[in-house]
Amino acid sequence: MEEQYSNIPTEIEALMLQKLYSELSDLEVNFVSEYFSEKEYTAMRSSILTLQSIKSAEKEIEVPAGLKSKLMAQFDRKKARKTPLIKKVTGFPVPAYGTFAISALVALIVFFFKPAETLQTTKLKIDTVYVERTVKEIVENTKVERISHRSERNTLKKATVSSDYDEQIGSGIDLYISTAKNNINLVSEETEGRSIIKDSSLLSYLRTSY
Amino acid sequence: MLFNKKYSTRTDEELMKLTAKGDRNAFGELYQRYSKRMLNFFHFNLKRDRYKAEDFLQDLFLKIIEKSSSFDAQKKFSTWIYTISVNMCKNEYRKNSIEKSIFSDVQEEVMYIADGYLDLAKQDFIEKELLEKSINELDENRRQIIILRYFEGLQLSEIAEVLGCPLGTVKSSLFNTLKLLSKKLEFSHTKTN
Repeated sequence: MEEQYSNIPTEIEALMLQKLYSELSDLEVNFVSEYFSEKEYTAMRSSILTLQSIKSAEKEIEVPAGLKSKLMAQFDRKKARKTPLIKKVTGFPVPAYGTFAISALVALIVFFFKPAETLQTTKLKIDTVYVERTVKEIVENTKVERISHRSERNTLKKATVSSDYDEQIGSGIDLYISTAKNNINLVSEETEGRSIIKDSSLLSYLRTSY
Repeated sequence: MLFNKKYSTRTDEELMKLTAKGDRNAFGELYQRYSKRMLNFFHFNLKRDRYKAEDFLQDLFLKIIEKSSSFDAQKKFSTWIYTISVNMCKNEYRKNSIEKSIFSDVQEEVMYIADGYLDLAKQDFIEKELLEKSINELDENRRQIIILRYFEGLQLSEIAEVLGCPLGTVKSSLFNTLKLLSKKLEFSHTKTN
């Protein structure tokens, strides 16, 4: 059966590459002889040197000229497949959280624009809309403006609110005096809710006035 | 020029990391460094079939493109590329195992040559031929150990990593294979003398 070598120090291979057996020092001979006989050492050395001579005699072949460009094109195709849309657009790599942040920003913009549209498209019916606030002595002046709405019975007059009450009612809200269904109410077209008039004296004032 | 220098001074592993991120210049630099070396590795491994070696080289770099993200930057790139290459060659040997079995027996061939004419110049040529054919007849692991060690100049520890086996196994396998090869050479000497 063929002898199997194991645990042979790699230094022996280095010695084989460098020295003939006859060139080994006494110390080296002792070291080598623990593993190989002179004959084995010489035969293996000869094999290694022949292997090296095969390598050095080997005529190296050159890489075909067109291969690099072919591979670079393949690399670009792979890169294009992998590149996320956001990077294609911006030219910069955007991490996942960046994409999320941009999506959130877009959502916010949509959110802020949406209410205006909603108000426009779902304009409230004036005579059924009320503001839930208690207002005292609210109407100083009524002006005048007749706004026809749905039916003749829903006649509105625009009310100008004293600036003292702006804070209570909210500035910039147009208020109207509604006479619908034989009732008089102070209403806002902008806010959904109940009548703003809970004060009976104000109600009577309005009734007297209009 | 300066731009190129930037890549040429980087390590293989750094270039591979950049390649994985889609840096085409890094890939180009790796190609420059390894294409010729790996082509010649394939050339010898595939019994000097130049066209097949070129195909293998192309496949190798395509694999690098496709698998770039799987490269572990803690490991050596050269070990990784040799691992892929050796596996490609092993697959090829398996495919061609039938072809291999019909090769003429090396020893018979040497005897045939020896029966003809011989001089010292021929002796050297025959030795090389014999050794090369003997290498081709080794089992896949032994063959790769010899090629990686004496043709590619890899350290034994690197070979162990490429082949995925313990260093001790590589060492014992190396010396056993050297002994086997030396016996074949010895046999040819006996016949020719």
